[in-house]
Amino acid sequence: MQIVANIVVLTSLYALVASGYVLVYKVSRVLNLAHGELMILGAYLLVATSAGITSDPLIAIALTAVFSIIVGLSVYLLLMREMTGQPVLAAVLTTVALGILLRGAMVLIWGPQQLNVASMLSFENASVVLTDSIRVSTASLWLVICTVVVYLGLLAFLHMSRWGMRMRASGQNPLLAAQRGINLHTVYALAWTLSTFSGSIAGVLVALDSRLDVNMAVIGLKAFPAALVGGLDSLHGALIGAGVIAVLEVLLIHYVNPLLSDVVPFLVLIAILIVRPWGLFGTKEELNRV
Amino acid sequence: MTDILEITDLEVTYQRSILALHGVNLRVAKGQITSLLGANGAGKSTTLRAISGFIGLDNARVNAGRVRFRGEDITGLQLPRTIHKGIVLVPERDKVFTNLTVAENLEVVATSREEGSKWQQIEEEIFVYFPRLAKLRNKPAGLLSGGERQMLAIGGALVCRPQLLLIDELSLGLAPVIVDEIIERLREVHAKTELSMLLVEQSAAVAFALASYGFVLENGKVELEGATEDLRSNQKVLDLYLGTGSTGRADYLANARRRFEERANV
Repeated sequence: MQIVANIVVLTSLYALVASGYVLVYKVSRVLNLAHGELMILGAYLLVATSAGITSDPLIAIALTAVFSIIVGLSVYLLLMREMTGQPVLAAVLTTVALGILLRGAMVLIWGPQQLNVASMLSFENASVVLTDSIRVSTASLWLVICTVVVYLGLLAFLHMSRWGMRMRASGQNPLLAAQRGINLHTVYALAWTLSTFSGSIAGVLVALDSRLDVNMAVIGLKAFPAALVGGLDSLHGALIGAGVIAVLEVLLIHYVNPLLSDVVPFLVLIAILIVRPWGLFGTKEELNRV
Repeated sequence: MTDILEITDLEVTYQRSILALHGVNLRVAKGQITSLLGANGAGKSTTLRAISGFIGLDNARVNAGRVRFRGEDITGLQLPRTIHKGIVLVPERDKVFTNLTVAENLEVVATSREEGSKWQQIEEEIFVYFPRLAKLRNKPAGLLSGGERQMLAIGGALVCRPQLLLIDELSLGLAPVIVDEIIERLREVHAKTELSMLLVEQSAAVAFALASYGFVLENGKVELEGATEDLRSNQKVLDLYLGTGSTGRADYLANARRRFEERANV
């Protein structure tokens, strides 16, 4: 039964990270390849907050959430805003450059060594015994809870609020959205902010559960197949994609070889790109669209 | 009668070099429906887009000429500012958000000035004009027929509270029965609101059924203008846009071929 708990925790992690890819792609058709770095930046912001402002874990995490919103907004306003109206490829390459820059900056500021964020915050990551045979860490439990809350919140926002509808509308037809008076910059800024926010939550919880170093940005890359399997513009698709990747990864680690864990998501990625490039629940786009 | 929109000597180029309009002059009288007739490539859509505002993606520019809206110079004004002025366009293609339901398509529209409580009322108002849409309220717009999409697009534009409604190709690709229905609905809207409209059409029959005044655009220039009754009896218009008379048609084809060859030579 422990294996089921592991699958749920890993699914939550991938789903939470994948939601960030989906949000930005769904709204602006831009693939944010700096998402892994932005996620880890969230964890480093927690380090900075706890070292410089407060050592109270709850206040530090709340402040980090606020900072991550500022980061997301700045990324759009200072960088991606200039890419609006440019070819999508230019925007995607910009995110690649942003990722590399962020990675370098984080190493310069916080160093290449592993940080123990949990002990910095005196956060005790105790095992929680759910039943006799199932234990999960406190941080993992929070991860599952946060993922559920973020997904419910996002789905409600996208389908019930006016701005959520505008985000869906702008993704489908940006020209018409502009012609109907929807301010595309506001919509895009909202997508980047929400995406960075949910990514930062994932980053913080991952860092609390293990240690933190810059190379953990690779988790962002591993969650990317989850988003793609589900369909890059589908939120519930991302959830199911995350489940598929997590099941395969956990089972293979358990029954075959732990070394497979870094490879499996990308094997699935290649398989889905060949069979169904738009994913399980994504919109089938015309590839020759101008 | 005052003109709500006045265009003088408008020139538009695409990608800095391709001249789409060379000196268009036209006016829309306040509270009236005006039609703009023309064949494919005559520059009708470009004229509408020049009024309603280009976006960066279009790579288009107003080179010369003036667009005045309610006496104010709005030449080169971009989206979404033209919307705030009260100019709303129903585009020719991709006119609804296919992934949103009919009700969401109406709700999504920017109504910054409208209060949230007024919102239901506005939606109901649209459903009164287009009862067919009320039944489709929760259906994704992507599943609608062409006629239903056109109605939804007009409804969405009306929610923006336009002073001037621009409609690109009202009847293109729609069954005659549906076209009749839409014409009837637009007449009702016009009777009730006295909304000024500029209607781009390839079919003179549809244009004449709605408009009181018309312009005929050819090769990026206004060739002819007049009250609908005068245009209706004009031999050239009859030939070109009502499909009567064979010489006109032949002239038109010869003209088109010449134009094509000219372009090929460039």
